[in-house]
Amino acid sequence: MGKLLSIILKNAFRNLLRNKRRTLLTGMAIIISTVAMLLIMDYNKTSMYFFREGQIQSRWGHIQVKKKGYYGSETTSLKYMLSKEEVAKVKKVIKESNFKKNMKHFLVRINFSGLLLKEGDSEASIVVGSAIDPQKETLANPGLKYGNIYDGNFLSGQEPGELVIGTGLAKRLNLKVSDVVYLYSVGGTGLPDIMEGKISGIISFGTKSVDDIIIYADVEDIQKLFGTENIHDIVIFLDDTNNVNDVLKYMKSKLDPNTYEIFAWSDLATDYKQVVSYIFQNFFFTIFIIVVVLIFLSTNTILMSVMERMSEFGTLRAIGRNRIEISLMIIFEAIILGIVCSITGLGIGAFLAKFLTSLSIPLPPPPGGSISYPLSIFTNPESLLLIFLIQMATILIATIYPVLKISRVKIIDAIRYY
Amino acid sequence: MKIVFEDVYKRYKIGKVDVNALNGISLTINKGEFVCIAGPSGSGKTTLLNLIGCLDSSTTGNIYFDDYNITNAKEKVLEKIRKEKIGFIFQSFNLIETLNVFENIEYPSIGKKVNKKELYERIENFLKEIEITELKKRFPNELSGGQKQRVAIARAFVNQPQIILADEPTANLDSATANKVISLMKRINKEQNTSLIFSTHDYEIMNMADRIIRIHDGKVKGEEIKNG
Repeated sequence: MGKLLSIILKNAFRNLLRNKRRTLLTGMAIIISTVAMLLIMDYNKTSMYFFREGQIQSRWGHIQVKKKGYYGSETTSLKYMLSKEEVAKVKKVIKESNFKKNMKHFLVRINFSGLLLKEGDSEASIVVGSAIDPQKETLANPGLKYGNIYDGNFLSGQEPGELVIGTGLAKRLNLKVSDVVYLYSVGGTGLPDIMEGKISGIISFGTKSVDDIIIYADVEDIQKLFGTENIHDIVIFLDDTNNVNDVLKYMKSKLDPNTYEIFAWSDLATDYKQVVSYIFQNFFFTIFIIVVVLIFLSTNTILMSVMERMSEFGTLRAIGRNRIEISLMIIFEAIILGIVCSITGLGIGAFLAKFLTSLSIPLPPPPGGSISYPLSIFTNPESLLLIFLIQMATILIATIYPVLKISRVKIIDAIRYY
Repeated sequence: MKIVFEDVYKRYKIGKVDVNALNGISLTINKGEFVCIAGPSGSGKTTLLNLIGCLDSSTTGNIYFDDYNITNAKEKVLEKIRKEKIGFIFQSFNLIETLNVFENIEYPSIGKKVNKKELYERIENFLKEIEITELKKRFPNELSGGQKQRVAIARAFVNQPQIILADEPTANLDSATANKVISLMKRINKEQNTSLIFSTHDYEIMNMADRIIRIHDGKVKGEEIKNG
């Protein structure tokens, strides 16, 4: 058996060298498709990573804690707010745990909506806002301070009544930095409350629907406006997204489920899931096309090689070698070519990924993100292994038709075939 | 091994045309005979050899190897017979281009329960006997026609089969080389007591056989005992 395997392998090697040009052509197809797959896969994976981190940083944090019943109700309802004591309890639970070192930022937010009116003007516009602690929030998401600001400055937290509005809103109400505005909103009394404020900055997230209504205020100003010390959301940032599940599980075990609802960022970021699913569909479709093209090309070249050696296969059958041995010969040739060319392709792909990353080509911020990242393609062992397996499967599929063809030919027809 | 054909017919279909390659052939070839199947092109020589070699099956009639009827034997059985009992020598030599001379000769024995040392000794002896020892590392594309046919002969005999089939083994050789090749085959036939059946339409070559079976239009037209 060992001798048979050895001679089949030897024969396979020599057959590959028999028609060097054809082997080179098939090999190049495998190499190029491997490189393409690796770059596409790892570019998408890296982009997804940055998109995910961007979403977490700019919007969701890693974990959010809300008052039971708030999620799914009116987003700006004051009915479901967490009291000062309840907020302190959450902080205490984390600080007294092993996860203390994993917590990077602990933020509070109030979500509100209302009308914004420019001083001396009768035109108002609907706004949807987020009341935040400017210092902590910009520490967690520096993009607010540096990346998204279109004019002026983000909230300083020093002056009362500071407001930051979206570019679309500023345009609609003809507002500039330092303009005085009035914010009408319904607070705890159930009656409209009014706050006088000053535009400190104009912000843009690159999404018109957001820029047309977004407003940021200091959480203390909004608490004052609504006459409450409560907040809607506790937003926790961790050192690593991979720790979310452990921290979440721990918090759920320690906090009263009748008071708190705890969410991972992935529970809240439904649009992120849609984008990821869309990108992955595109990715799989692209890989599918590459695989199909490679199967056709490889099948064609393997078949050509098999047909050229038909008489040889007939001779082997005549001298008593069976169909399985002959099929193995064809399959081994394909496997050897597949292994050599896939590994070469992966090497070239990994080098190209590193080279392209080193060029630091600037890219726009990911959708919904505030910070742009340079073109980055990070290869990892999982991608290398997955692509290697895809390529080996592809090349094996490509041998099916040639193997079936050779198995079905009569020995006498094969011997006479020229 | 004794070969018996009983009223064997073989019909092919080429496109829409039925071809009667063998039309009721009956013959017997005894163990150790050196037999020539003679006849013009299209007479059915190759078809007859293909049936003896278990490369094809008859349409009707019976073929016996000793007393075993192979007519309806399964492919696996025929494969075993080809592997263990038959050696082939082809007109176009049919060596495996990617294997060197030694490997080509060794190939039919691979996977068989044979003593490796004995087998290698046998191959070396064959190489010496057919005067191609110095060529054993060469590949078929580095050999002349005569050398290739010698390798093919060694490949056919190395397994010590009971029957050697040679379909026009000298057709691609010059007459001097052809004579040498047939003499070589005859000598090994006598030494190993192997039945050797070859086809030709070359008078000089066919006269070297012990018995000539003449066929025409798929029928036996006559037999001629030359020697023995």
